[in-house]
Amino acid sequence: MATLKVNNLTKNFGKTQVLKQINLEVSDGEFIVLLGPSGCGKSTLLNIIAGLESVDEGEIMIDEYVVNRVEPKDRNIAMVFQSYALYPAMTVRDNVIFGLKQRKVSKEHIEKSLNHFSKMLQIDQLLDRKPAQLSGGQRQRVAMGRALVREPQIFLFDEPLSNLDAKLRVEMRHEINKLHEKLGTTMIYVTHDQVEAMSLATRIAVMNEGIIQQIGTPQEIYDKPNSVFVADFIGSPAINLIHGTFSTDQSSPCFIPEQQKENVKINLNDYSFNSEPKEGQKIIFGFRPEHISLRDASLKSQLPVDLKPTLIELTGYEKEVSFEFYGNEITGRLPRHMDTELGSPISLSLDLSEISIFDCESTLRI
Amino acid sequence: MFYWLQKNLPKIVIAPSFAVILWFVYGFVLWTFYVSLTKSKMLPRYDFWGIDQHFRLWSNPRWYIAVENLLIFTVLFVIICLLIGILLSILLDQKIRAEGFLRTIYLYPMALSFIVTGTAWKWMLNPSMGIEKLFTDWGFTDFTFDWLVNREMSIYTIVIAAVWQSSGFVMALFLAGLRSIDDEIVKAAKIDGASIYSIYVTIILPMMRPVFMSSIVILLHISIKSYDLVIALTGGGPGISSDMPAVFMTAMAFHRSEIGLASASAVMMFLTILAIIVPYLYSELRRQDANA
Amino acid sequence: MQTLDFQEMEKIERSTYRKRTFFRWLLFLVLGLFAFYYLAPLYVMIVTSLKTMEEIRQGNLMSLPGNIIFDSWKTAWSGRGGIDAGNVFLRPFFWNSIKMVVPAVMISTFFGALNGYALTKWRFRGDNVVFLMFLFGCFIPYQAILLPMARTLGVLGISNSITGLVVVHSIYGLSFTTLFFRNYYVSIPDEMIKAARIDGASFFKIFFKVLLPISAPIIVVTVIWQFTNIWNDFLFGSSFSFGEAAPIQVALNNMVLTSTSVKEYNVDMAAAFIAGIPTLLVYVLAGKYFIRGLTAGSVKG
Repeated sequence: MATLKVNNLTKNFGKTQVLKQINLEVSDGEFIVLLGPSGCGKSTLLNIIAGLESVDEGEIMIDEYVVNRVEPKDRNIAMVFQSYALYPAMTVRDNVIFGLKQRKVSKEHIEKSLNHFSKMLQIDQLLDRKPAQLSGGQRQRVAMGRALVREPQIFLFDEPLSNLDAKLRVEMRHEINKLHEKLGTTMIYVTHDQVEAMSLATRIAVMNEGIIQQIGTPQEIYDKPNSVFVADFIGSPAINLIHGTFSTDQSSPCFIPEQQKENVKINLNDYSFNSEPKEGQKIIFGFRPEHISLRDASLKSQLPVDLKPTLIELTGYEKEVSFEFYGNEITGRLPRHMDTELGSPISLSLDLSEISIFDCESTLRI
Repeated sequence: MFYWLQKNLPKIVIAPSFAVILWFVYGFVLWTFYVSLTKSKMLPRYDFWGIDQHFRLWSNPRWYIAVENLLIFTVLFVIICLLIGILLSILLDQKIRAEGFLRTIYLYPMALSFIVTGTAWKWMLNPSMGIEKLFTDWGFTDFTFDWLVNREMSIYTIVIAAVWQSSGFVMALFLAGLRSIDDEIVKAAKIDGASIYSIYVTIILPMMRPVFMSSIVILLHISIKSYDLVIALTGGGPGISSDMPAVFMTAMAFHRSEIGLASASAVMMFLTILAIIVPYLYSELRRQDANA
Repeated sequence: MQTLDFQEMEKIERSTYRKRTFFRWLLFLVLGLFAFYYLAPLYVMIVTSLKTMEEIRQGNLMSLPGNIIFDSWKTAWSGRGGIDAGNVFLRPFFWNSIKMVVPAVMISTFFGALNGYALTKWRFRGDNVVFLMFLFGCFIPYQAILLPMARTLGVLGISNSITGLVVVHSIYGLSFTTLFFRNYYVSIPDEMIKAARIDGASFFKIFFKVLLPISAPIIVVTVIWQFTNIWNDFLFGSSFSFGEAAPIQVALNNMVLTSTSVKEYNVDMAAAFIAGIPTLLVYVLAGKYFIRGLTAGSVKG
């Protein structure tokens, strides 16, 4: 069992700073997902935690011990890679037990672990094959087996599902989830796929340009994104972001969208500001597509709107509908059986208790 | 007509080159084959004589010396080049700052001709003024190094010079191979706790089988064809002690007026290379098909 | 499940650090020794060429010359002036080699490019067999074609001439150049040719306007490869030309072998160096392409 701490970590590749003052604390048994677009530094961070890359500034601590200069093999970690990184010249069996052999573990123990984990991962029938003879999903299982038999303190995953097709990816995701449930080991998982992140993590760290933008539970990240980047990166279809200005109208705060012909003011009484903006401050008003719904007068803090659909896309279980909204195009998710027609207005309401407000300049939540 | 031309243009474009190859490679090889079955001496004769030239060849003591030398040379040349090449490629793979510079140094002999190499080494190995004198000057007064003029040892001087010239090439091949290995495999092995030594021996080198194959084939090819270096370094001497098949062939063809015998020896060389190349090409092509 | 033990970790950390520095030093030592091994002959060649014969007799291989004198370079390049039988010098043969290399490289490269293009982008039945037959030409021992080639050159009336050598090198370079271009063009997406065809470009237009402009790297590789091989050739040169039409490698060998009264090692070394300069220069200036040619030539097929 182990905890992990990253203190003020900085990493440069030549002149580019790929990680800037990263701080991260992982408690025992957590499943942390590092999520971000490619090139955001998440894989570099994982490699540094593994000891495969050196630290330029700051500390990596495992169980209160600074491991900056400890070799990867002595950190008691295991890692699963995107390309699986199986040793092509070895059989599945030798691949799986290679790490144990290097550690001079007793033969009985090796045999026992191999049996246990190969059954668990359903690769016990494949032990005598070479990696080239396996399918993508099987290779993935072998790569997991190789990590599991080591029984490490921390598991590291570097985009392990990216090379699988969609169906297998979901399947393996479930398995990883179950595995974490069963073993309770600390896991750190890198991905650019938000669905993976949301469904696996106990906490997500959203990264961009070498900085951790936000750390929190999947729900927090989704509901209360602390920056425009996080809000926009998480969720599909993407959050609706509308530029405008802040104003106080009869002592209640409100939002005035840009580019509108009507003189609409949206009342922000139900939004709890971190810090109240100044009069006339440029702000961004954000709400997720599912917070547009059929009007229901019994609900509180709703903004009634009549919107004309400009594009209707059926996804099967619902409709994604684009509307014209005070000079902006927004997306809403509506039930599939609802009657919609291009150009004919629908009576909808926007749930003002679920919105997010960002400062236009700093792009941070306010 | 125009359509036909359009459709067959690729073939028409290739045809001249292909005809040239057919005639000058395959036709000429067949010619040599045939002449090796005739009584040709000074000039080729075209009346069939049978395989007597081949009997003559294989009962010729000079040919035996040439073949024996070729065996000694090939075995040593291939093994030493592989050892040095693999060692250097692994050492250079350790994230060295001066890698580009060192690689340039290790490989430059490959840009020189065998004649230049032979001339330089002939001087270095000069029995009275070369390396021997260097060591006597340094205080090893009993040091002798007369391989160049020693009948027993002259073939080894060719090995020395040839290794100097070609080992860097093996290094380059293996380095390219090492660089093409998935980075993540090495990372996985490091996390698995493998030492650098065992990463190379148990994981990486077994993955380099294709590179081993091509290196060996190329080295064999160089050694069977080696001619220039022998001429420049020892001239086949002292006497005929460092003779090689390629030298034998030209000597018979151009100096001894034994065209039939020369052709027979050329056929032997051709068959040897055929025996190496055909299985190699076959396995290469099959490997590529498997990858495709 | 093992956990990290602080003291144990500290010990491990210190020992890995020590081990690492030790191996680092060993690594550089070995690499340095090999660098010395490869450089020594070049050093000896240059140093010897700058010494007088007197200095050569007195000193040893490694000793530096007293004064740097280029006399032996002059002798190697343009001779001593007298017209005696033993007075071989390189200048005319150097030009012979240039006159041989330039056309041979151009011809073989051009046809190689055309062949590679036709073989990869306009597949026809049997194209693989055709390619294999080209490929085999890379491997044949030239001894097997030496005699008929000599006779053919005689029949054509170009034996013992630069023209003859140009022909020979163009023909036997064709296999290599075709291989190089074929392998390069295989990696270029067929869609590019399809798009050009739909746009109405013809066979040659596609070659000259679409493919050649993006072939610069492989052209450089091929030209360097052919240049080095033809410049360094000795077998064809010595078999098909003697006397005045000989290329430089043959002349160098003759020069070293001519036994005048006294062996002039400094002149030999200067001559060897002169014969090596063009290829060395190409290697130093375009090493990347040189290496790529070597490895491309090795990964056949």
